[in-house]
Amino acid sequence: MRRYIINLFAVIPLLMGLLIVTAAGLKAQTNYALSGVVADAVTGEVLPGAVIRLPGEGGLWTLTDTRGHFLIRLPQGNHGLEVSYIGYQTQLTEVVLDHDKDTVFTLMPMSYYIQGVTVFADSPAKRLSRAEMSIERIDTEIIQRVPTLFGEVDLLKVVQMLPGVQAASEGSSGFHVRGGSPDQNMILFDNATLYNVSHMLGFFSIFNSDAVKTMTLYKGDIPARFGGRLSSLLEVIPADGAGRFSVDGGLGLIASRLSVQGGIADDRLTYLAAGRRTYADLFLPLAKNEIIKNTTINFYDLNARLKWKVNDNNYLYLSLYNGRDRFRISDMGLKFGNAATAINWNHAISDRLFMRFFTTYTNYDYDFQGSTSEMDLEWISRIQDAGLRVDFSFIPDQKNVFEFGYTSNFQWFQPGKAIGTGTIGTGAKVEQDITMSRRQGFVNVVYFSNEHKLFGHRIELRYGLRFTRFDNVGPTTLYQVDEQYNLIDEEGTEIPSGQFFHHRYGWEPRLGLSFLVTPELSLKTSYSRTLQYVHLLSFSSAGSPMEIWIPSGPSILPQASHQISAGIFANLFNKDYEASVEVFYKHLDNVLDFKEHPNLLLYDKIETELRFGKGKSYGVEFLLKRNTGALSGWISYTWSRSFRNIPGVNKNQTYRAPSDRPHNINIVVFYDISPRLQASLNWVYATGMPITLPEGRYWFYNELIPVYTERNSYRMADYHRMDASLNIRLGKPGRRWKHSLNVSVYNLYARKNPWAINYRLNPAGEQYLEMTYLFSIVPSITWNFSF
Amino acid sequence: MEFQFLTIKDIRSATLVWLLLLLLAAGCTEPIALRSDDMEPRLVITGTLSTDPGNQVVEISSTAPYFGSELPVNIEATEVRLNGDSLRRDAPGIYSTGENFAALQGETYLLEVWIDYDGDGKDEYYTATTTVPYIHALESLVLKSLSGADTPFVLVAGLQDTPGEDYYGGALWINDVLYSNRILRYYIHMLNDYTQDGEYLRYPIPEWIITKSLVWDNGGTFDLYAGDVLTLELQTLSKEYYLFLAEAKIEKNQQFPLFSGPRGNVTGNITGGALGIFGSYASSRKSVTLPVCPGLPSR
Repeated sequence: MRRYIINLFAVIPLLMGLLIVTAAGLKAQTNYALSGVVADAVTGEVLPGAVIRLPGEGGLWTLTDTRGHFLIRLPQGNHGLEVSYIGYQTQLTEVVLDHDKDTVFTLMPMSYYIQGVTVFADSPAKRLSRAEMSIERIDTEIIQRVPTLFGEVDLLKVVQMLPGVQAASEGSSGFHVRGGSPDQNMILFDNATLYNVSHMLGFFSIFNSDAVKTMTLYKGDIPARFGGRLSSLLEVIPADGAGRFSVDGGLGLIASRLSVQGGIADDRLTYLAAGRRTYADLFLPLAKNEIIKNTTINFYDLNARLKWKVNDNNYLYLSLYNGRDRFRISDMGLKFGNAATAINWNHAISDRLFMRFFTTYTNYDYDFQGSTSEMDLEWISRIQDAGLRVDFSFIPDQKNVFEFGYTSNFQWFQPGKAIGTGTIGTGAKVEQDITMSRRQGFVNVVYFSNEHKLFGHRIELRYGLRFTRFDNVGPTTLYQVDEQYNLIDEEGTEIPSGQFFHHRYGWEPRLGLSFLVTPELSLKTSYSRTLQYVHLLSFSSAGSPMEIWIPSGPSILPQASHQISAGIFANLFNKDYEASVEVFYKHLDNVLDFKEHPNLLLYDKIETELRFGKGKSYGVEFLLKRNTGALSGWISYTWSRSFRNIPGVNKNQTYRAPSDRPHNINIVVFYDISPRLQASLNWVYATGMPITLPEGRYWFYNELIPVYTERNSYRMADYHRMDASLNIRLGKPGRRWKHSLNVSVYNLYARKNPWAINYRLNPAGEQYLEMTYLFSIVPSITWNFSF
Repeated sequence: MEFQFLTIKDIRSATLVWLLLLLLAAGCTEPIALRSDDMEPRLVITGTLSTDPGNQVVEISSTAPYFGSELPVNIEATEVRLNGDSLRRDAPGIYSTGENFAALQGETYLLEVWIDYDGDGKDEYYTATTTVPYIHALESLVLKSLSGADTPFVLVAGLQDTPGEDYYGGALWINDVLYSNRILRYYIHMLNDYTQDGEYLRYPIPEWIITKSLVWDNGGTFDLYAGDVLTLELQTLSKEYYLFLAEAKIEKNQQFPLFSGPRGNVTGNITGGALGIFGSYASSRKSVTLPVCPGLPSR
């Protein structure tokens, strides 16, 4: 089997070469090429995603790629150009094109006292005409303006306020996208796959806003170059260091952060380093409660980013992340955290063909330690992922953008290992362990896509195809089940190290179409199929870092989905407002749930506890947003339903998925009161989360045993919350030293939103329910500075 | 190896305690008005047979709404039979074998119930079977101090295990008072997949950590004194009875839904759509006396 892998790697360059030759054949050579780079006029940092428009050419436009490069082919003559980028002053210029021309556009950042903000990091015109839909791009400026919890700016809390997205639970970093479960979201940090993005049980995400440039959420229409999860892709792009040396920081009530950035060697090498550390537990010794007094709760994370401009055609990037949480209460504690590394080489093979090469590695692990009078216990779990990917972009003309490439990821799973050590009566030390078998997965993907503009760019067609192959690799103990989920072999089969013992493969077509009806109105539709080969076994509706991932295998089927979407998108009132309505329908195969009373804890034969079936989600999303002006923000309303039908669960009847929360409203408002004062307000509403409640009871062994009729047939109370913040700029404008105060209030009207439901019995013997809620009103203040 | 230290139960207990502590630190609680609808009442049949001679009982009842003050009540059956012999009606819904009935190891028993539960004038028919397991005799019972010579103590049972799956239960008496009078104070454990399968075991019962004061009914305590006699009834359970007990314990223990998965009905073995269980067990007993030690008062 190892030979198979060697052969596979040998075939990949051939396949790449074939695709390149094929794509090159599509090139159309007419007119002159105008190419160049768009960069920050102050720092020299290139600007990916900048828009180059030609108002005189019927609104023709193009974008800069990840290196800030663009290419557009135009007829000979004079052309007016409009070059724009979020947060920068738009530049109007004219070029005389009488031969192929290469140029550099530098954009000035907007003034320190910016009047209003642009909500989404795309221009309205660009969003309207693209074939892609169900996509939200947000830059750090927006993330930093949303009110915070405990003063900590959080990227994922902003994601949870987008249409079609709901928080998995109060305070959680997990989220549901269009009825999908949290494990159906792929989260990439500079193309490194992250498996748990929570700090402090999910109250914070691992993303430090100082180290993030932009994030893009694909809610279903995922580009062919990405896959691996059914519901969404959240792509987080780390910030590059700017050339000028600068320091940014913030001091909050429970956390502080600091970042430095700068450049050397004429800014050919830029760097950024950012760190955060919480210190909430510093105040806990003041508590009266002995348990709380001796509690440790903190986390830290560190980010580093290097960018080396080797020459105009070669850029190298290095991204590092390391973060860890530490809890200790009484004599028990939990440590968990992520480490991630990504190395990226961007290479311009020609002015029409670009290559991006990534190698990535991530590690997530947790380590629970506890002591009783009998023994010391340690319980560890780990998942590692090493990947490489190579993406090619080929732009033969202004009508086509071809992308193709290959990705490969090897995943190591150690779902759980518990070690107990103690002393027996004779005084001898004894060590015993309960270990779930290691599992390994190897996934290889080739893909191809094209964005094709038709009929004078009024129609854009995007089509693509992914081919994925997933292999299970030893060493492991393989357990297989029959159709009734009974073990075929109780002892399992020992698979030696390195043996490829099972594989699955699948095709994932992607299709998108946009029609620009008028310059201010477009219609879009898309279809995508996605496959998922790794699965999260979540033990609790409330979310926990102590969850495990397992790969597909002979008895664990890959999850699959088909999703179709359609929408109307419009720019209103001279592009001040954008409005959209999207409808979607998603069909899920092999969606996973547990049997009733599953054995989940450190159980190696987990295949017997899982059940697979079908699911469906559908809904409609309304969005109205204002991009500019003193008053900006967005309002969204989503109506959606999500159901499961899994043989062996709920008497084989269809039941509500945990993400079935029909009504969801998000209101996010930014208001610039004055150049020194900015206010933000958001309000979130969601129908209560489905729960299962007993309807009857009977006596057994002097206890009242509950009787259930239907899974998830009841709901927790509706969730709603309002947050507000005020940002006060201090100091004088124009100075290098800048500082500000951010005052945030989370849960402004102290709504008690349920986090978990507990069963209680009152003294009269009557059952009642009790909710656990995490937050009442939470004010915070943070002092931010930069120089 | 003297005994197995590490069990899933230990891990679950340790992590649950820890997370509950965390909740205590982080969260607040409040009663809520959420209620479920009242379901249509369902028939419940429960009964167990033991190899220990005695009056062995089958109970027939109807479910009550989960919320509210109404409690489940016993109901009359037309006929209840065990292996073809009619059981004696002792009280409404209570049917018994009579005194000194002892189930035989390896024997399969058939329970049959005729009852007009739906009130249509015709009896419905419900059945269940159980095969009595073979006894694993409790050969020794000792108190092991977890601190050297003082409280807390743990009971260590000595028994010869047999290869393959065995389902054990344990009930504790203190001076002839059944301490395990509730399912959460009743001990169950399955031994099948560990290094000592089929060996002679000295197994510490983790369910009861013996101190001078144990948890008792209605928030009270059961106080222990030097000289008190602890009696362990070690039971070998039929598989369906073990599974029923295991799931029932999970349902009663689910204050915080961690490591427990989705809620659901306890799986019984009564045919015809009734809830409940007809199970059996083989039992043996041993006693120990609490020693005089600093941690225990004298009477």
